[in-house]
Amino acid sequence: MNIWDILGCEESKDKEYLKTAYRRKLKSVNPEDDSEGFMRLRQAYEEAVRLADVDDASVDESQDSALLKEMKELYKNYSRRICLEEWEKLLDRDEFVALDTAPDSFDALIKFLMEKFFIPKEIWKLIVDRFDIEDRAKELSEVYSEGFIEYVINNSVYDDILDYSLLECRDELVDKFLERYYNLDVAIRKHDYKSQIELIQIISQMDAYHPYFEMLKIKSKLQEQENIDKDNESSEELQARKEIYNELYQDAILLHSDFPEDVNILAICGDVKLLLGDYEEAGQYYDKALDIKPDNYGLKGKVAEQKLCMGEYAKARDLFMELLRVNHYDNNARASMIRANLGLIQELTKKRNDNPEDKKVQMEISWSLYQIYKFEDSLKVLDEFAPDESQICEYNNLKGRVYLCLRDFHNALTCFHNWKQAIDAIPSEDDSKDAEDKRKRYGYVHYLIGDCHLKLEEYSVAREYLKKALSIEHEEIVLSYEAICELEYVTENYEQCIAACEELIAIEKRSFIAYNYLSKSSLKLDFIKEAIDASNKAMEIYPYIAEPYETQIDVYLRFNQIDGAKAIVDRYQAMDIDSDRINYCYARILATDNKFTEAIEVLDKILLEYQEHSSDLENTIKVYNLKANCLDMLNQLEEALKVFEKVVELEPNHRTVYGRMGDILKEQGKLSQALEMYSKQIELAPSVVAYINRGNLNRFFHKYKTALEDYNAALKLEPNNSFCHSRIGLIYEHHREFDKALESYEEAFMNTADDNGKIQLYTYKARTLQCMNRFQESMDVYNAYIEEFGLNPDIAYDISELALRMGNVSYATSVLEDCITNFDFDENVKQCVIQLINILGDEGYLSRANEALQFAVNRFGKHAGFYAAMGAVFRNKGIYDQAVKHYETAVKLDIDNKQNYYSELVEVIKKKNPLRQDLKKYVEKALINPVEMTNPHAYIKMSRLNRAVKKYKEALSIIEKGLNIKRCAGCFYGACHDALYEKGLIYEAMKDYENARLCYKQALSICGHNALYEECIKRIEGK
Amino acid sequence: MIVGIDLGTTNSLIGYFDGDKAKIIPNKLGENLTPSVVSIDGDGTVYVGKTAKERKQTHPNETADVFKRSMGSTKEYELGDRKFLPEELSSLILKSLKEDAEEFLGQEIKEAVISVPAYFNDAQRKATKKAGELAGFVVERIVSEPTAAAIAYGLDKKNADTKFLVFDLGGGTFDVSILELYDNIMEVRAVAGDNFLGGEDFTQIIEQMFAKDKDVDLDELDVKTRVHVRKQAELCKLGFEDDKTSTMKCKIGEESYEYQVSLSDYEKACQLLLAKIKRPIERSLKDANIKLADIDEVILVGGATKLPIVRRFVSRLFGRLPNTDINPDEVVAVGAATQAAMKERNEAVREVILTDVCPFTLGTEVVVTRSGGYKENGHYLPIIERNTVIPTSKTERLYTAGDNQSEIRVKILQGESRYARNNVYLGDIVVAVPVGPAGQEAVDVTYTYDVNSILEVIVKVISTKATKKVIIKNEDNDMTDEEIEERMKALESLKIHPREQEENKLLMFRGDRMYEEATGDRRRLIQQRMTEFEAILDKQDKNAISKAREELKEFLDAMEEDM
Repeated sequence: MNIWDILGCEESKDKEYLKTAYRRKLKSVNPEDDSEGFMRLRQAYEEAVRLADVDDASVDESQDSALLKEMKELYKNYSRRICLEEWEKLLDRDEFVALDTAPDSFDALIKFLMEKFFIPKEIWKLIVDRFDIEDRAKELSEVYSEGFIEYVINNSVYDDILDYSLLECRDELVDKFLERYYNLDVAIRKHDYKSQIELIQIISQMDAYHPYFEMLKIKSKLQEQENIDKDNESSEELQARKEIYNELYQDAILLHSDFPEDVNILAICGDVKLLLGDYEEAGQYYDKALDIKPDNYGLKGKVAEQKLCMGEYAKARDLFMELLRVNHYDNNARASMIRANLGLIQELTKKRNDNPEDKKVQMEISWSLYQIYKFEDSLKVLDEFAPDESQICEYNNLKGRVYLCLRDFHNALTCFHNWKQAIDAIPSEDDSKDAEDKRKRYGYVHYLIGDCHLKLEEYSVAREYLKKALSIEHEEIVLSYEAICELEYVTENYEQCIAACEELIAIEKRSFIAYNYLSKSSLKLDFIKEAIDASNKAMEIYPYIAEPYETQIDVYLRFNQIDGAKAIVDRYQAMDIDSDRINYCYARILATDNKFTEAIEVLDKILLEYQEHSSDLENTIKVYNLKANCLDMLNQLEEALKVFEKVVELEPNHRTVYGRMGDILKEQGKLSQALEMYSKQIELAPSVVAYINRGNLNRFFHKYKTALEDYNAALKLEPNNSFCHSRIGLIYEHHREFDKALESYEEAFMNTADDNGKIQLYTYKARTLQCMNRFQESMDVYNAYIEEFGLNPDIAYDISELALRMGNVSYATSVLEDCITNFDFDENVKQCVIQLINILGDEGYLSRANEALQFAVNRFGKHAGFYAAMGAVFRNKGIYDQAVKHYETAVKLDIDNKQNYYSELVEVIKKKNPLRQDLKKYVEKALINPVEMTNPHAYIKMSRLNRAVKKYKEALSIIEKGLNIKRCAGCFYGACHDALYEKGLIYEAMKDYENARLCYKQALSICGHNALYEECIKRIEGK
Repeated sequence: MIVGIDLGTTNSLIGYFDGDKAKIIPNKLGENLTPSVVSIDGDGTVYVGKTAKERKQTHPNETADVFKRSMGSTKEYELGDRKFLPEELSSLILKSLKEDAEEFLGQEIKEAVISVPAYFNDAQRKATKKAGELAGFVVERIVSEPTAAAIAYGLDKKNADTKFLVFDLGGGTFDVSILELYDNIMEVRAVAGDNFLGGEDFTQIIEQMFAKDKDVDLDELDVKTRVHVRKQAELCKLGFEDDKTSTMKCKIGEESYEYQVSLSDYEKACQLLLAKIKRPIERSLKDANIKLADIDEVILVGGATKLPIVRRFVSRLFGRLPNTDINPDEVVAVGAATQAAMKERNEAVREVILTDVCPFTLGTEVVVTRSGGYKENGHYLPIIERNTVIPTSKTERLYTAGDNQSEIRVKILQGESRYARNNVYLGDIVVAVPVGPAGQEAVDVTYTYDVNSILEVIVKVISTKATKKVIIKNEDNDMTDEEIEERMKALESLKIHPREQEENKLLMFRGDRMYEEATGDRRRLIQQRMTEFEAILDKQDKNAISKAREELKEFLDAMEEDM
């Protein structure tokens, strides 16, 4: 629900309306009754009011300081406003000088300018210089938005939207005029014809004059003509259009006569002439304008355009290339450059047809094709002729670069080597200009060769050539540095990479590559601040390239700052360009934020787009990888596996995918397949994690030797891995090599900082010590545990068992009571309750056991286990009525559960009345929900049921199986004493007292002290 | 039935909602106002209200008043050889009010709504609640006094869209609240105040003027005389009514003093106090984002607003005559009773919805990184800004400030200062975080402040998802249920003076005081009349006692006039 839904109203900035909506809703969410609902409503209301406030700053002039008043006065009076001296006077006022008032005055000025900004460039420059704004840009950006400070600085550098001094207008109309003029200018630049018409109409009705407005009117009309479909134009229409141009030219020339030195007006004269086809004259206007402003980028473009019209393709092309060197992203210039090249190719092709053997012309054609990205065509032309001796260098240069663009590095290498050899072959005494020119590119060719090797991932050769390239002076040395930066980065020499970047920056202040790699390497080395600074710089140089944004997103994600990362994505997307790399980052952010479904949506879109058009992603492997991980998190394991298979398809030797597939297979329970995957992972890229995973599986399959090997292999990679040590300990423990097990646990313990690991190890150690009958030491371990983590139900059960073995019944019960009183209910606490009841009962404290039961029921509610435990107590004491009652309650409470208590119930019913014959129906009922045979207790239950119906043989064979199955989780004993007890009961029922006694004795020896078993032995000895 | 109680610094009242309107319940003396004074004699008999106030003149060491000002602190009052906390003394007042109500309504009263100054902080509110519990009440709600006043005032104007300012100057505290009433919705827009400004301060000014004029060192006076001087100053303060001057008469030792004070002089001397009054008003208007001109009415609440000097100042301050339709002494109790009725969903008031605000800022301490990278401790980060509408829940994310920090300590603070140390410490929560570089680990701190003004703080570690929660209690004097029980038993052991003899006792104390003040023949005369009265009391003949009481009262009145 958005805030408007919550408020139940339309989106609005009308505060009265919002308040009414809020109050209406309030009647249904009284804070007295619905605190949550009210908080939601209130938050929505406050947010709506905040939004309404955003551009509703009220003005109260009476509060103005003298300074602010003066600023307003100055701005109001237009002739004063555009007068530099007036502003100088203002900035010289004491308020701007005196230490105590200067900061506030500056603040007031900046805030003033945020609203009143139609002032000439020279005044902006005055402000920027006076307050050192350019140098303080960063600091100021934090206070007043980055955008505004940038705007201030730009205003001081770029030309004004119009010549302020030429405006004739009443003061109170000035700002309205300027605003509308500005909008008109934008509308023309955006080719928004409808707005142009409206604005021109509105401005024309104003009592104001500015020649540029007249000029914009001409521009607008020219634009109108542009939209005409000139191909299907009749001759009358053509004539009419010419008429219009002629009229517009008259308007323009009139302006020109009034303002002969105005560059903009000169340019518009040229523009009209160009459209009239009078290229020469247009050229004259442009030249004159260029004389006045020789560096004007726009004018240069116009001149190039004029040359193109004149058919001077070579000249036009060179001019456009020059523009592109200044602004790489000027798409108009690029399009025109292509047009010029196309014209040039036509011209040259004609020439070649006249003279097919002219290799010079062919070279030029292929250059032009190369420049307009037609690499295949260029290659075709190059393949058609063999170069002259004098052309060898140029030929191989071009051909190699064509191959490079086609990513055919091997062929590229051949060409570059040819080129290099040609230079090598120049005799050293040759000092002709041609030879000198060729030698000048010796460094460049080394760079190209190095770059090819770099792309081929042949790093050491690449390094050799690039180092050489750096040692030779050449024009393109910057490229060599760039390649070195890349090389050091991809070979993970981050320190060297940083050094290379710094060298590069020293010779090329605005190198995108340098800052980009600097930031990426810094991040790798955890120099966070440096990484951010460098990536900011990179963004400043080429705002549209995704990489530095990626780096910053990485930084934010590393610190789990989702919002920060998102802001970077937003910043990039605000430029309205689509980058799959950024989209991928966005997906990563979503995944980090646990929004997996949304992440998958984004990733699918990337994959779709990748198939449809060229993308800035090198390949889709990481996209698939992330998608699979997201699916995994959503527990869609089958789908995740499929996606990982796609990765394998794309890159059979991927370094992590097999491990991940192993994880998923393991999660699915396909353990042998998982084992295979881990093996594959280890084969490709051995890692600690992979070894541990495989070791765990091997252990599961009881292949203890192989498991041990895996863990040891992992330890070779990471000698202090606590987990490996602890698992090795488990294996030793399994093999009853307790000393070794203890040693391993000790090792593991020393290396773990993680609480869960420690807790586990404490219990392992305690357990092993018990196996070695070192009870006091075992208890010491528990005490250390309690010292560190406090007593909790997880271990209370274990401690109570140990205490019993040591004969300390009161400690056993007090630990359990402690847990039951102080902890919230969970499975462990439940076990504590049961254990407590059992112990108390077994020791003969029937009423205390009953009290414990009542206490537990009062605290935690009724649980079958509680009643069953009490039932057992009564059973063992021979109070069968009570036992039946309690077991019946347990069965009732636990009716749907596989752990139900039928077997116990049947047993006591039988005890109560040994002659009962209708017990079979209980057995049948019990079998409806059969117990899963996963631990000894399940076997005990089954055996007991059989015993109840006197099927002693079945009972014996079941309990035998139960004794051979692995232990229950958390059991310390080598064998299950409960099962032995059951076995004893069976023998006793069969009247085989000797065997029965043996079983009871065995049971007793296992758990050390147990009142019940002692009693059994006494009983049996009596027989 | 839930009753509403105004537990004031000087006077307390109890009210109930009778069908369609709230009414004040008279005490055993038949008066609506019960002075917030407690006195205990040697054998543990407790006197409350006017009787206790009278007894203060003769037994200042066994009497306590103005203890509301110390509510929530650990200050102990010694009455004879017994020691009491402010909330215990308050509970005795409340107990007495409870008895009055039970007597009057003929039923047992259990639940109460009790009012406190809006600017009371968490500890003070909790202490008040405890006082209620000690008196045997279930405290259904602690309501802010100005809010209560506004409820009392606003209920008559059900459907108007009105903004009003409640100016509440009580005996010891000053509160300003701005409220808006619209279509049965009452919104508190802002509150501000001063817990140490009230009518008592205006009395003190007169006292000081007198001491200066007569060159008396007040600190050197014995307790009894000091109490007498204070009382005379208070009479003088109230004496301006029609006149432009008022006279303070008093006796110190054997010497009688008469001091005449002009209203304009008094006003001058009160300048500082009046200036103090202005500040909270300005702040509340600013917080509510309302211009003074938009306030439809100013409502005066609290006994001190009856003072001509205060009224004049308020009229000038607001440029209009304040509204006094409802008796300023009773308006809070009426409002509290109405709130009680709202709580009960009484038919007559069911429709009204009230939204209140949090009167102070709640925040935490943070480290601020200065440009240049050095870190500065002890800054205050507000989480719930003052005058936020409650219930409210706000979350701030805090990051580790140092490398390898293993825990984050979230201090819970209340107040408006930029520096943590200047704000009131309420408690803290410590959570463990995985170690790492500064800024890597973060916690979300959520403050939830509910309609009962109880603050709950939850800290959640982002990485481990571990969560800790505390409900803030006042550490200093927070009692467990058992302790309350114990205290209650202790208080019960005190004998409450039988209500039917209240008036007789009052007269006796008055006589005692006058005897002490008088000399010579007068003294003997009083002595004689008092002995006669005591003899009649002994006979236990109701009619005779009643008759004798009236006579003695007339006699004492005439004597006092003369003195």
